[in-house]
Formats: sequence, structure tokens, C-alpha cells
Amino acid sequence: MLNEVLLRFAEWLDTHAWSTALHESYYMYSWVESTHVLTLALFFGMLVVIDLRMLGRAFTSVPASVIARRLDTPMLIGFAVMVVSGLLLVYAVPVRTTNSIWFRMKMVFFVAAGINALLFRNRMKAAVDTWDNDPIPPRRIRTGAGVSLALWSCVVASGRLMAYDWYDCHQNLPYFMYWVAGCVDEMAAFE
Amino acid sequence: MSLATLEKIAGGLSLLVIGSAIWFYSVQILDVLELLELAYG
Amino acid sequence: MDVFAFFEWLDASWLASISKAYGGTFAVVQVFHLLAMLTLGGMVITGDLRLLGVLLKDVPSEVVIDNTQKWINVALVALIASGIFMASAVAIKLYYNSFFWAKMTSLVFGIFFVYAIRRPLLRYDHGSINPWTLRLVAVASMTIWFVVAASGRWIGFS
Repeated sequence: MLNEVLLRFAEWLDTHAWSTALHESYYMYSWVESTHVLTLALFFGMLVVIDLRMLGRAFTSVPASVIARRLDTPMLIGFAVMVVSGLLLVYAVPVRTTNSIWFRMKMVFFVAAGINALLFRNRMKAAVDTWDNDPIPPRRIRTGAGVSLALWSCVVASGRLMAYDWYDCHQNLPYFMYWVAGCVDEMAAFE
Repeated sequence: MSLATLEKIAGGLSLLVIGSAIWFYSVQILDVLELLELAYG
Repeated sequence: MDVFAFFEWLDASWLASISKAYGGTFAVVQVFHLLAMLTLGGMVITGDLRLLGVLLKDVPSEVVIDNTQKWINVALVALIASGIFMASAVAIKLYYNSFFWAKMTSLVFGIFFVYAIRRPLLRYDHGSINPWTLRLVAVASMTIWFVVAASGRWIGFS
């Protein structure tokens, strides 16, 4: 049911002239994609610096809150560019993206990473005075930072793997995989 | 190497890098503009 | 020196046989290559924006450069190791790809710039260095790594 709705929406996007134009423009599409990947160096790069500080692996002589607060703005700028360029990429290739197992995994990791970030932020703010100057922060902070790095790495990894067509609808896959990817027509052919 | 020499080399090379990058990408941008002109001009 | 012979040798090496036999290994190594690139990018941006006086102004720039340089070293080793593996899988194709050569040229220059120029210069007390030299070096350093990464991405497009 949900798969059906998503696919119809993607097919509707696909009928837009702008979607086709962006998809078929070699330079424009490549530039949007390059922007998406290179802005990661800003968003994910700042995240790495902050999380390495929280893991006690970098900037140990600098208070943790200074690193977190000062790098927050560039990270959020990077995040905004990621979202805009990412939406454009989905808009350019709506049907294949909607039916991509990797894209669906990416969205799941994305939501998980977002929830972790919110929880982690509050935990950090709540107790920052007690360990701000410690070279190696307490265990629960280190765990939060490790989970954050792992989840965002999974977002990046599944995004990168979207380029591969191993599990695309046109492949011969088991029913379960068609269901996960939302290949509505292929599922119907099974019945 | 003394700081003064190193500063000169670093400054010179940096200018060279920035200059070549501007040239490299302006060629690409001109290329795109030309394509746009072919398509819509 | 016959450069093409080297690519032929790489194409027939045991490294290439692993990456060609299992398509998944290439993709996994590619993911690590990307993650290492992002770490390098983050450290370069943090260090260079500090030199430009944009970020972390309340932390001494010597401290920022020291901490970021360590991770730049780690990321570069990971990038080169994963990069050689990836190159072995598509060696012959790369030989004919002009963006591959653009990337290698800028990469070699980038490594030279980091270890022969930026690091030795920044070993001096930053206050004693001409501020304009510092700014130029910071912009140039970000530019080089941008060109390396962008050309790398463009290998796949061309």
C-alpha cells in the first residue's frame, strides 16, 4: 500500500519536464551530484572533528564545548546544502531512487542518526560543566559519539551504494527484496 | 630553510595554485555557457 | 619509463584479481575511500578556516593545525591504500581517463604542498609569519584538495 503510494508519487514527479531536464543534463546533473558529495566534507567533516573530540581522539587540550559550539554553524550550513542538493538528486531520478533498497536504508539510518544527534546534544548540554576540560570524556559521551559516527557513516555508505544496480527492480530477486525495494509491478508478477 | 625564504616560496606557490584553479574552472564554466547557447541561444 | 606497462602490470596483479572476482569488495573499499576523503576534507577545512580567522578563533591556531595535521596523515594513508586497490580494478580504463591524470597530478602536488610547504611553514610561531602568506596558503590548501576530490568524483562521470 505504502509502496504503491510512493511509486505513484515518484512516477508523477517523473512526468515533470524539469526532472527530465536535470536528469539529462550532463553538466548540471554532475555538478549537483558533485556538490552533494563535496559538501559532505563540510557536514560530515565537521561531524568527524566534533565526534573525535568527544571520543578523546583529537583536540584533547581544548574544552569539548568549544569544539562543539564553534563547529556547529559550518556543520549546519553543510547540512542545509546536503538536503537541498539531495532533494534535487531525488527529483532528477525519482522512480529508480524510490525503488532503491540503498536509498531506503539511507533514510532509515538518517532518521536513526537524527534521533541519536538530538539525544546526544541534550546529554552533552546537561552535563558539560563536569567534564568539559577532560581530555577523554565520560563513557556515555564516548558511546554517543561512536554511535553518531557509525550511523552517519552508514548514511554515507548507503548513499554511495545507490550507484550500484545489484538490487534494482529489473534484477531477478526474491519476493522479500522486491517488497523492501517497493518494486510493485515485480511483486504483482509473483502472484 | 629560513622563515623568510619559506614564506616567499609558500606565497608564490599558493598564488600559482589559486590562479591555475581559477583558470581550470573558468574553462569549464565557459564550456557550459557555450553548451547553453547552443541549446537555447 | 613506460607508464602504460605499469598499468598493464597493475591490471594483471593479484590485487586486481580480488577486486575483479568480487564486485562487492570494490564497493566496500570505495566507501572507505569516501569516508577517509571526508575526514581529510574536514580536517583541511577546520585547519585552513582557522588560519583565515573564520573558525575556532578562541583556540590558538598552532593547536588547531597540530590536531588536524595528525588526522590528515591518517586519512591520506587510508586514501592512498584504498585508492591503489580501486585503481587495480579498472587500471586500463583509468590510463585513458584524463580526469584520473588530473587527479593524480593535483594529488602529487597536494602531498608536496602539505609536507614540503604548509607543515614546515606552520611549524614556526604563527604570529611571526606574514598574515597574507598564511591566508594565501590556507586558500591554496583548500583549493588543491577541492580539485583533487572534484577530479576524483569526475573520473566516474567521464
